[in-house]
Amino acid sequence: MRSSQSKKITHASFKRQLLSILVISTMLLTIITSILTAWQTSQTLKETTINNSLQITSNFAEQTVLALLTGSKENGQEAIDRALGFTSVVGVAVYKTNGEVLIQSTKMSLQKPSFKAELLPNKTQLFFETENIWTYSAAVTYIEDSYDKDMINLDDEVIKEQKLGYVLVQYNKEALHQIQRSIFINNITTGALVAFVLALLIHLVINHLTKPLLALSQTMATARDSGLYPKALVNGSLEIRQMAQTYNQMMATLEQQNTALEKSHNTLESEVEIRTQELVVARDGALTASRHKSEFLANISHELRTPLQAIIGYNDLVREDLELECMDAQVEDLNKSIRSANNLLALINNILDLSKIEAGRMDLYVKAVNIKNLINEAKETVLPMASTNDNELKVNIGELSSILYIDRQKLLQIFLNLLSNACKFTHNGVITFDIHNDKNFLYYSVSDTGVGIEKNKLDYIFEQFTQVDGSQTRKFEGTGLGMAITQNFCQLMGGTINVESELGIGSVFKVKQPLQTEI
Amino acid sequence: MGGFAFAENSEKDSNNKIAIFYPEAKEPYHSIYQEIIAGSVKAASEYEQAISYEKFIITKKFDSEQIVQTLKQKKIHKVIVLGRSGWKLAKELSKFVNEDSTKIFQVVSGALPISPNGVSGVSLITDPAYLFGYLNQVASNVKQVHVAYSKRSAWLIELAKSAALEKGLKLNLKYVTNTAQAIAFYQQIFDSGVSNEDAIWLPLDHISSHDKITLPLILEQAWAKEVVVFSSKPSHAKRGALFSTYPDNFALGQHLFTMVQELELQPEQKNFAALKSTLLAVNLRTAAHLGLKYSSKQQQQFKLTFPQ
Repeated sequence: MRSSQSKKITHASFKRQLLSILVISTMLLTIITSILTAWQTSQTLKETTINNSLQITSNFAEQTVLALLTGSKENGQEAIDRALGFTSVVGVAVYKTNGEVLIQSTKMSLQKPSFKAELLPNKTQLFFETENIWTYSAAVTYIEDSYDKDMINLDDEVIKEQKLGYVLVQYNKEALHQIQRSIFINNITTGALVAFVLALLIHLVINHLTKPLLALSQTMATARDSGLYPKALVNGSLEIRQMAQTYNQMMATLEQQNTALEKSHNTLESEVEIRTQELVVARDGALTASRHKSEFLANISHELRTPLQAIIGYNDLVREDLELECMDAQVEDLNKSIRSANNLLALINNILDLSKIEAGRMDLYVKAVNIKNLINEAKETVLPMASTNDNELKVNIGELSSILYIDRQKLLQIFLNLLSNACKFTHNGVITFDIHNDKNFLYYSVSDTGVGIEKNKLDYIFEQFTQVDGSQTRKFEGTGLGMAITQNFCQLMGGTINVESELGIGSVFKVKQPLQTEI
Repeated sequence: MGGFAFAENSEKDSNNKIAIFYPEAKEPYHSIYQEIIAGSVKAASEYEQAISYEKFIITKKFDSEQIVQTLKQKKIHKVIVLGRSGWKLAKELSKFVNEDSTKIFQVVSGALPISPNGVSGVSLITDPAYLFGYLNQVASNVKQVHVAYSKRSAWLIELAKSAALEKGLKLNLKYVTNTAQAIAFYQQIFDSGVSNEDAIWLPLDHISSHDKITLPLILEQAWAKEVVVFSSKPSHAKRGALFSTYPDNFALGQHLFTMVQELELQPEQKNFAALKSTLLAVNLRTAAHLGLKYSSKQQQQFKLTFPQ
């Protein structure tokens, strides 16, 4: 609770804090001062009143000398009237020395305190006090007359005194209390008014003082919000002027720095623009060149394939003739020639495929395919290659639909590429083909126990014309296009291909490819 | 033998010396004493024999034995004392007597409103003869003088009686024992149909005339009934009595000198006098109220007039 309050206070504005402190302290000061003044005044008033009433009493005592001397009530009447002329004097009484009443005012008897006149002292004094009434007593003394003090030194005279009696004067405190009350009320009212006026004045003065500070703060806020560099007005007290000047200097510096920054930013941007333009041109050029290359390759492949097929066809015709004539040595030579031509054709087909893919001319031909037949066909095709390197080929068919909607040619190509690759890089090992599907995807993988691929080379195996190293290129024949085509076909069918491998232990190629439910 | 020898040898010397004792006092009393002393010195200088003065300041607690020793050494027998302390010294000195029981010192007391009681001297209380003289001078129409007195003023009343007779005034005397009686007497006078032929005399009397009690009463009623009030007390003229008297200090000094010289001739006589050296003080406002008019020549005789 307290901490939240103190937080509030510290979060209040400077002007408000200053105002609160000043106004509260001024009000406290004024009100305390007025209360103290009122208290002091009423004390003084009380003392004065007591002194006055003592004076009234001793005057009254003096005036009753005649009455007591003559024992005449009439002689005392005037003194009584005079004493009662004081508004606060409510009762007076004159007593002889023996305590017998000589004369007293009517009200006196009602409130007369009990006393023995003989016990009263000679001095004028406060004799008796109730809540509302002071009762003063004074001795009435007859002082013998002396000779003129102008003529003889009275210090030497022995003046005789004779006690004639006593007087009592009752003095009502009500008037005093009323004045005291009104003093308190007036003082406090005046104090409050003064405090109010002072508070107003302080408010005005502080407003005046904090105005430049507020203006400065607003200027700063504007600077923050607008991002401009507005200058503050330098006025007000010394500190605020200094602040404003410092702020203005800061703004000037900031503006300079920002201008410089902007300038360098602009330069940089235009440079980037130029570079980008250059890059775009270079890229476009490269793209165009690549497309031209692909088109060229597609065209040239086509042109190459046609004569090559003619060569193969005619060779085949010649071989068949030679077989019929049992010219086995020539047949064998022609077989070699036909194999080489077929290899060349395969290479050209591969190049043609890649070119088509890169030229964007490769299309998918999706139709219902008996997948098991497809697997068998792949298996049949690869088996001779497996046996060449003494490899065992295992085909594990999991949950697999009998009919799938796929591009038969391309999927077969992927199978063959992966399997033949595995056979090629494995000796005396096991090649495992796993395949299954679910509702949406077809999953298949080819794992081997071959040479494996180094981890840092894994990324390169899908690039065109790449084998893991030159030495192996020699050791393992191939164009280095197979994996590139495989990956391209997978991507063309919306699938992904991953490879995991450990050097000397083997590799696993996994493909996940989406299935169409129908054409 | 020694005492006689003392008397024999010193007679001539001591005749020429007078000691004056006066109290140490502030102004205006100091000046009053000095005036009295000056009066005495003046009177002595005019005397047929050369008289020298020895002045002594007397303190409140004086050692009378030591003073006597000093006086004896200086062979002084004639002493003038002033003031209350002086009067006390006078009483002490009167106890010293020669072998033939005559007094060693002839002492006169002055500057004190004394009544006769064994000390010779001049009282500050004005002689009624002078008062009545002034009454004739200031309010000549007055035929009767009313006065209340107590025991202490009785000696003065004796003087008053003869003076009244001499001046052709009728005295209405009232002996009182307390102030109440005095007040009753004055009341009775005012109630008895007084006229401008009546005058009230306020003697210097503690019982019959009190500044605060009786004087206001008397002055108030006398003013209303246009009755002349005169007083033995100097300040009463200032307060509204028609006239009063002030002592003429210088003349008083002369009187004291004369008196001490007389005492020397008749040592055993008790010489006492009321004040005869007086100055007249008149309240012209009261006089005007009473319809009394004075010529400028008359006014010149008034030593003091009020209001000043």
